[in-house]
Amino acid sequence: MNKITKSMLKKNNSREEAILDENQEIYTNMVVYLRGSDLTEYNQELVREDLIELILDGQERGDDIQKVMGGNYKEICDDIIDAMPKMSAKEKIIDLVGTSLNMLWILGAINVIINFTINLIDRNSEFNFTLSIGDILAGIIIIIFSNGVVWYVTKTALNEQQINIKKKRSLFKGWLSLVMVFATILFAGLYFDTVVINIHLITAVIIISLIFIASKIINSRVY
Amino acid sequence: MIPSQMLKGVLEGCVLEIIRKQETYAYEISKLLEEYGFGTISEGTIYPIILRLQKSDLIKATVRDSNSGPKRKYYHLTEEGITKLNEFKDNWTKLEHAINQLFIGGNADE
Repeated sequence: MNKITKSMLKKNNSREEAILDENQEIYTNMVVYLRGSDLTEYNQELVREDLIELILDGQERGDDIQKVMGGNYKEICDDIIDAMPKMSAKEKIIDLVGTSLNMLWILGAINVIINFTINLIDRNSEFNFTLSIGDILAGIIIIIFSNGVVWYVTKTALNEQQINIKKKRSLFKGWLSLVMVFATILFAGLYFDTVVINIHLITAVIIISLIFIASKIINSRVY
Repeated sequence: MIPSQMLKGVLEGCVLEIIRKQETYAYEISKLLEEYGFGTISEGTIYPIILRLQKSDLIKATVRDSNSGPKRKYYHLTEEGITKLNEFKDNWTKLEHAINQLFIGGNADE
């Protein structure tokens, strides 16, 4: 995220605090839905800024979000997404690379902590950083699962039919898939223990730091 | 109440005409449309239209303080907006004539 977008994000975060509790839920769902679109982060913040002002203006008149937006929130958001410029192919690639590098350094950092702790417990003075096929598989599963969760949450944020029973069912499905994911990770760790990376912990920290710096540079170019 | 599907094709032109008459903001546009007899049209319906008009450089926004509450975006027509509005009016005249011919003027085959 570049500086302009970051400053808009901060401004919007502070402005949205003035939205009344009764209007918060629908407003949040609209923003979550927009987050799942292929609008650039800058355009998402531009739209968010306008939505906040429309809602606050309505509140001043005594109108709730239902009256301001007219009720068809999903249709309105789809119209908004349709009306805004889409991400170019170049922007999509930069966004994807930035997100992938973010995931890579976060998972790398977690593995550094795990390896460091194991080395401490084993009283291993060499401080090795090892990655097995199972660790890599677990990382891939975590990435796919977390992306799936984000996709599901954003796409269903404005589903009006998500009433109690369905909510309960989807909560159960969520827990079930979470259990399955953790079971797969555990299984992968136990049975795919062939080590594919074995380097010194300091080297791993340097590599992960470089990935972190690269992610910061690339993400600062995401418009 | 006019069905929203029927309104969709003409609302952009009507919003352009309202903005031509006076520099205005989303809520005022929806109120003026209501006064002209378009029925209740929320700001949620107006906002995507405004975005489309801005994207096509037909209108521009100026942020100004409002008498009460938050700052507001006031919209005005650009040169391209004026041209587009004139095109819309020409097309509307043709459509209105055609529909009147159909409904009032009788069957063309007669």
